[in-house]
Amino acid sequence: MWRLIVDGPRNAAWNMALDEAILEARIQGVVPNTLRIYVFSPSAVSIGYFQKIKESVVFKRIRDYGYDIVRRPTGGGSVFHDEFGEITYSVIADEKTVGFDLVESYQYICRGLIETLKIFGIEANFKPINDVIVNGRKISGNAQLRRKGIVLQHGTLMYNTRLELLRAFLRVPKVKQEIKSAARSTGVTTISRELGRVVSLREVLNALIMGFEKTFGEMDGESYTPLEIELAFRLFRDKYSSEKWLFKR
Amino acid sequence: MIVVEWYRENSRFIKIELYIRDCVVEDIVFSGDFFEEPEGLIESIEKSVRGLQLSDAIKVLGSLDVYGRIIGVDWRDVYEKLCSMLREVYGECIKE
Repeated sequence: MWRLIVDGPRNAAWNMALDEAILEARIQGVVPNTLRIYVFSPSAVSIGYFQKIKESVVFKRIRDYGYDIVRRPTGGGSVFHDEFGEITYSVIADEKTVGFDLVESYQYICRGLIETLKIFGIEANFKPINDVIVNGRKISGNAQLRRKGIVLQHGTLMYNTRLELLRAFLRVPKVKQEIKSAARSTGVTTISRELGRVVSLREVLNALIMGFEKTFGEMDGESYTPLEIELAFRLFRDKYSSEKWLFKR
Repeated sequence: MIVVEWYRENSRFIKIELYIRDCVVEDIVFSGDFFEEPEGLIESIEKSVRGLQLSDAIKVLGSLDVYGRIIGVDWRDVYEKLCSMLREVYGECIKE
């Protein structure tokens, strides 16, 4: 049976450290497949493993707001984690359960998000490689890392994200901007925007649990093991809060 | 130094910076919003290429997709673009 961890708000470095700690514990076989749901507090911008910080975010503006910036262990692009409008999930599971094929595994896990949105009456679709879209607009981005047969996938669900801040914080390379604008790419959306009313974190959290239970089956609500806490503390201190890690590219 | 940027609609962005001195690759840095498989592929390629003669570096980069893949990117297309820029700027360093 899957383990469900609904975590309290934590800062960006702690959130990344906990995801990787669960991954390591799962590799050691001491914890089951896990779904973790969490919020970033303060709000934060996470960048992909291979991104250059100066090219992917407006560093000073984010810091001026008092928000965190963290490099993820996963690839992909930069993400604005709005404390008041975005919820993050991570799935840590063996490849046998979620799929050996990359796109199939993204699709399988993203089904949990599609089911969540269905609860709100929103029809969403999976867009390969790793996005969930509603009416052509991105509502969730997802990123995956595989280590020793275990998959760590984390992703966002924007329910009331301040899109003006998202646009003010994230940089898009010129070549990408030009092609996207020529293709009339339609951007991003949120649950609140789709419904025309403001949805609360509580509503989204409940729907997210139900949506993932439809995909993974019943889950056991639990907390972290002492090993995970110890690993997370080390990763927090030595990796995710270090400038060396943040500026590694 | 040469910089290659590559992006296609519905794909991922990749940038490769190559620092070359006296026909030797002093440094190479991949960046972008792509994914890799397996974990560590890009860092091991960067490490293997540093310090190599440009001709040898090109061969190593050409074999990247033997060891894994850069997800979201057409590596053959990126590689062709990179080689064509290198031939143009550092042609005298490249032994065919």
